[in-house]
Amino acid sequence: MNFFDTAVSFLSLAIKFSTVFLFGATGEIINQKSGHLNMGTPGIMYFGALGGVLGERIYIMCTPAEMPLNSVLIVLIPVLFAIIFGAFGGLIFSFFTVTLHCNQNVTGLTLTTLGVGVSCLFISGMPMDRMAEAGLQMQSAFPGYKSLGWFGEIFLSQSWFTYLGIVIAIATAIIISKTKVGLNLRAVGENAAAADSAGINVNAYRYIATIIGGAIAGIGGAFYELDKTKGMFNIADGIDAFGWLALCIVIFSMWKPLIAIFASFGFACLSILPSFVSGNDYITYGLKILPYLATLLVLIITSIINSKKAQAPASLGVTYFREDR
Amino acid sequence: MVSPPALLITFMENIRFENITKIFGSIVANNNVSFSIDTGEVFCILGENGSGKTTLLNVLAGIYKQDEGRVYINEKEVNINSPKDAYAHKIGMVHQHFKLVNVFTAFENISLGSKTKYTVQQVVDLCNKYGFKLDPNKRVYDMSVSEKQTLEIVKTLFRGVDTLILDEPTAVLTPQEIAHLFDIIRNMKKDGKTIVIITHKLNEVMEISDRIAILRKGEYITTVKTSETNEKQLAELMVGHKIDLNIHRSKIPTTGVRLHIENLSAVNRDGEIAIKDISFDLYGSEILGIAGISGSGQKELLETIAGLNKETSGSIIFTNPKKEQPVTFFHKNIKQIRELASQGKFHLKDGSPCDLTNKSNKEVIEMVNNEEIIFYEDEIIDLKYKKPIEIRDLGIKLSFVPEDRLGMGLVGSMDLIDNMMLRSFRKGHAGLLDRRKPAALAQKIVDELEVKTPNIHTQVKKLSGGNIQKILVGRELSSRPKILMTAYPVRGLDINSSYLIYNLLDEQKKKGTSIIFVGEDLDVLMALCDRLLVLSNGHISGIVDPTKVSKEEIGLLMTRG
Amino acid sequence: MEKVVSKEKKNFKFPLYVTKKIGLPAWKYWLIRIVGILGAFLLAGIVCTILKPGTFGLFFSELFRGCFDFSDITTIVELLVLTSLLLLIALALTPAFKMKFWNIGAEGQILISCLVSAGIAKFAPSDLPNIVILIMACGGAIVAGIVWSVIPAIFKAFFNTNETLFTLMMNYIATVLGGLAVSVWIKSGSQSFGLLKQGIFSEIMGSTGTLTIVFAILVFILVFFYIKKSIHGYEVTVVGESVNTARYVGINVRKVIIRTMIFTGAIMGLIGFLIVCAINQTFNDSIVGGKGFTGVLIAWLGHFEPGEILLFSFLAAVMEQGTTTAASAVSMSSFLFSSICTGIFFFVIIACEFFSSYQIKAHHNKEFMSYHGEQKALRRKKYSVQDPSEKEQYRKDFAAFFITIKNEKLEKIKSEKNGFKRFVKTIGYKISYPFSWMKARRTFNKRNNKHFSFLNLMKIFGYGITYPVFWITCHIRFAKLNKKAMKGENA
Repeated sequence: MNFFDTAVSFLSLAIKFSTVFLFGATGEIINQKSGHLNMGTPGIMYFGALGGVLGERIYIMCTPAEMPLNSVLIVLIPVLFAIIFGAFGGLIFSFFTVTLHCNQNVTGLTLTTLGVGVSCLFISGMPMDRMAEAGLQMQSAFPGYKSLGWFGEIFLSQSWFTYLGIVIAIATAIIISKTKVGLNLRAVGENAAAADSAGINVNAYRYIATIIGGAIAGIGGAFYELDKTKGMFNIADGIDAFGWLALCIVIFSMWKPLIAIFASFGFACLSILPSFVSGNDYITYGLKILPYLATLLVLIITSIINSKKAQAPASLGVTYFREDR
Repeated sequence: MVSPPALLITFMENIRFENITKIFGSIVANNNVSFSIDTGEVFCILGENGSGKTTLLNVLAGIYKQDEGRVYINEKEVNINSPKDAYAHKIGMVHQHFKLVNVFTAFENISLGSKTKYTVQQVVDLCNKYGFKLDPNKRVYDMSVSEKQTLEIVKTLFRGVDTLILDEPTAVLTPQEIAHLFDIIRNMKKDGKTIVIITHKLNEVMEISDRIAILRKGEYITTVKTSETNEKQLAELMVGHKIDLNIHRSKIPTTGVRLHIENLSAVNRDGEIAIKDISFDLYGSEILGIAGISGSGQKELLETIAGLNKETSGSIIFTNPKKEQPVTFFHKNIKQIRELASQGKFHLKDGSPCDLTNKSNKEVIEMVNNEEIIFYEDEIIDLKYKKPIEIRDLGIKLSFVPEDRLGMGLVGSMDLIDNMMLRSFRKGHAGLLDRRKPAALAQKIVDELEVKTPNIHTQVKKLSGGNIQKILVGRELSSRPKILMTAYPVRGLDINSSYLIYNLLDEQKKKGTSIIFVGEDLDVLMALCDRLLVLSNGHISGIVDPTKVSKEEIGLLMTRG
Repeated sequence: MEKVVSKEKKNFKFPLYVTKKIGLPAWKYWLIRIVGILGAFLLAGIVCTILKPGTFGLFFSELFRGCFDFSDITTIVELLVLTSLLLLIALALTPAFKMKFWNIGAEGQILISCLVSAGIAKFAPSDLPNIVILIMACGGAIVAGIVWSVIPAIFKAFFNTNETLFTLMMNYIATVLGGLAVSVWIKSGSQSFGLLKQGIFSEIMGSTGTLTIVFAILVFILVFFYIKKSIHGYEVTVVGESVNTARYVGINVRKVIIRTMIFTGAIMGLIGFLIVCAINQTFNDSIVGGKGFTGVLIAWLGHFEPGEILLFSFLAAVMEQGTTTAASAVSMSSFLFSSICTGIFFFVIIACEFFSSYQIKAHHNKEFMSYHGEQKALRRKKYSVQDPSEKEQYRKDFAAFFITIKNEKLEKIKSEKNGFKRFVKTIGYKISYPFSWMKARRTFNKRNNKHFSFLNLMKIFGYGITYPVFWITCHIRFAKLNKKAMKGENA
């Protein structure tokens, strides 16, 4: 394979990877805008993965063996299940932090532990027949992409999930910055007391934001899991590594979904680089460190700059209790 | 949004509290409070700090839920469980601690949480109607304190409230701004709105209100008509016994310059210029007050002197009044001793001036060996290069109570003993702490200042604000400071404790301490301080004698520049 | 004013609200926790039964056997070793947490120390005596732990960089380095590091890790004194509570942050050394196995107090070891099952924390208080339960009261214009019938100063159990009352 072909498949794969990141990051941005530092997002992505696999399993079970799998339904049903499972994960987090007033870090870490355990247990027990066919059907939204050369290969060969991810990210950006609901949400994340005295139901906003954020993150997990079954991915990391990197992308993009789209792409490139570069162990592993190092650099630089515009929502990580004196 | 004129309201809108009780743990904030407020009047709720006024009105505004009792609006019982319910009943509250989102503009803050979409023109119209000065597109972090308060009031009015509750509105305003606010209140009253003001300032109550309800220690005392009472009677009702509201200011001569500040400039933690070219002198045995609207640089000035903030330019020279020391030949030889004696630098042990002109060398030597010649030389120290801990050891103490209750100087989760130890924790042996001396000190302060606490092992954050402040000031005073800098020392205190603190400061002044007092109550500043330094926007607008200027003139100085 | 009232009614009000509880006596607090812990174990057993039916009893017996088998002392020793390990991790994190420095990088810090001690143990010249190799490995591990811990501390101290994410990233970097080390150090092809031949401890009491227990005890005492009695510990507490106050009393906050993390790193190094050279005697990049995160949770649940941390370490160890044994007995993947159980365990404990700090109260029942007209006649009347004629009167008055309420409700539902909503509301009304009944009863009784014990019985047995029964009896009773009331009206 010459360099050009490698580059094309590299970019194509990078976009695919970035989808997972994007879903996770967008979901987490919604969480954080409402004031929840949700460290359970990796676990929620696992929940979503479980949901996606379950959905696909059910669809396959309901389809007689002769009938080919519909390429729309093969995306739609897993997504639906992923949303439900992801939302459930978000619900657990908000229940413990909003209603039971628990420390958000602890709840998040516990949720991740639980998510990993539950999901892996059930996923490994799933029968695998027709999964390969399902994966193939899920592959690309525009089957004719091959005819458009490298452009088609990179941009049009993506699964519906990818386009969905970008649409969701843009929609999130618009809703947060332009609508009334977005204004209220931002207020809840900045100063919950102010929002409360303005008559906004702080708890409701936090619940709903976390649930929606969880649902979106769940879709990302589902996509990773379903695509993995075809063996296109040869990175050994589990979904939770994606989850943590998604958290970093949130900070990198300064809580703006539009920037997150590009940041996800960048991180995806860094993540898949090791498998495209052959060399001795040192290079392979060295490249593996790159995403984490990049995040560290971003963390350091943003904390040095410390500008007012790029700040985190002021109430991030703080539980709101009205009667606090 | 804007309520109909008074003519259309056909019945007397009426708010009634019945047996309201609210308890926080073991503290009874309101105990069986019952009274009523009529429509269209300016009603004051008067009481000192800790009497339960804010709690009671928080119940009305939906922030708290009463444990017992009922609230009636127009004779119908209502259940207010959240601020949203309060707005549904057309009741809105402007809190002492602003509930604004810093990164939003004024307009965004107003639009927050409302069902209908507002336009900027509507905001401008409302401001013009009542006389507010507000720029809808300004971001909150760029606003001054009085602008933020204006924004809070406008925000509440936009919800269509007919009853507006103001919690201590004048605490952060200059006299001019207070007058402006009162004009606005009168405008709103003409429009048919009911205004409820929570305050503890007697003169303002007399000026603006129609009727006054007095609360004391959580209990309701009575309601009086403003036209039928006076300040003295109100004070007595507030406190429960006759009280002398005069602050005692001892007249004693000052002793030499203690602190010389020249062209001092500094930045605050965000990197913005906080104080510019400050120059003044602080004398021994005086109380220098610092007046200024919040954010004029008072906090940064004190922190810079205390060494907690790096100055960008200027000098701070501290004259340490040293104890008397005997002259020895280590310092000087006979020739120099004679020279200095003739300059009057030495005394004899009994205090009389030392005259060596008639004494022979042998006699001088004998006097020196018997340590009969004493010199009293002030030590001039440049504070610029000193670390905070060194500055504290020199006797420059800072007792600072900013917005949060526990201030800078106490650790809430530690008990009294550990808090006393904040000054002396390094003096332990072998890396371990020594708790005995701090325990004794804690007990002494509890006894002398009548601090109400179960014992000295109680966590400080569990005590009431007044007692916390007493501990803080008591600890700072116990080390016999040369300079005591105290900011907002009576914030949140009841009258008795406040006057206790004023008397303490006056006593310290008599003992020779220099005191810098940063306060927000101009009346107190004018009564207690010997000189008054007015800060405005980071530089000095003027240093005045409080007995010779009026409050209005000081108000002008506070806003000039 | 009708508008105001109906606006109130339209808003959905959740009938319960939360207030802070102050001053819970210690015994109650511990009772809640003990109940929670037992509940957590019970829940784990239920989960096990759900996954593999019929194993409820087996789960518990295996749990017990896995931890407390007195015939085979190895199990107890293993349990104590695991406890000590978790205890060490949580203790190492305690000073940093007291300072509100949220270090969740325990995994990485331990892993790096493991890496260094494994390297030293493997490649040290074999003619050195074992004890020397051990000391070198220990020293190297401690240095590595300190380096890995101090880097985030430096950035936090100077630039206020978020330590949570920083340490998290360091974890992943450490994992990658671990993988690199394994692939570089092993010869040809085999995936595992193999057992160490030198630089290891010999077996004591059935386990090679027994020395961990000794170290745990020592570190426990050390940390206890460090936090509570030493000057450093005092400074840590002050910094954690209020950075401003710390600066004010002359504490060098940066120095304290860095110094505390050096302390943490040193203990992490010790832990890494013990894991490689004592307990496991091998190395791979997942050797820490999530214990770092578990340690974080234990430290937090123990409120950063050494005594409570000890208790929770023990419980977490029991949970982990017991569920692993139980899982293999019922042929389930042990790692996943114990993850789930640990997750459940922590969630239950967290919920207990809530119940010891807050209490749930119910709103005043205001819906029925607005029926002024009809109730004026019934108000302030007192009924005695014993007198039969009074009872009759009571029943009649209550029937009238309840009919009024029922009619009002039906009116409201009928006035709903949207057909679908009306349908839903009718269903809701029908289902919640007993609730309306009970509410009406309670209101009526309160007004008339009467207390009915049946309603208290409901509380005891739980609505869920008695609900269907009550639903039926309510209808029957009401029908009877209605008949009587109608008879009374017509008479």
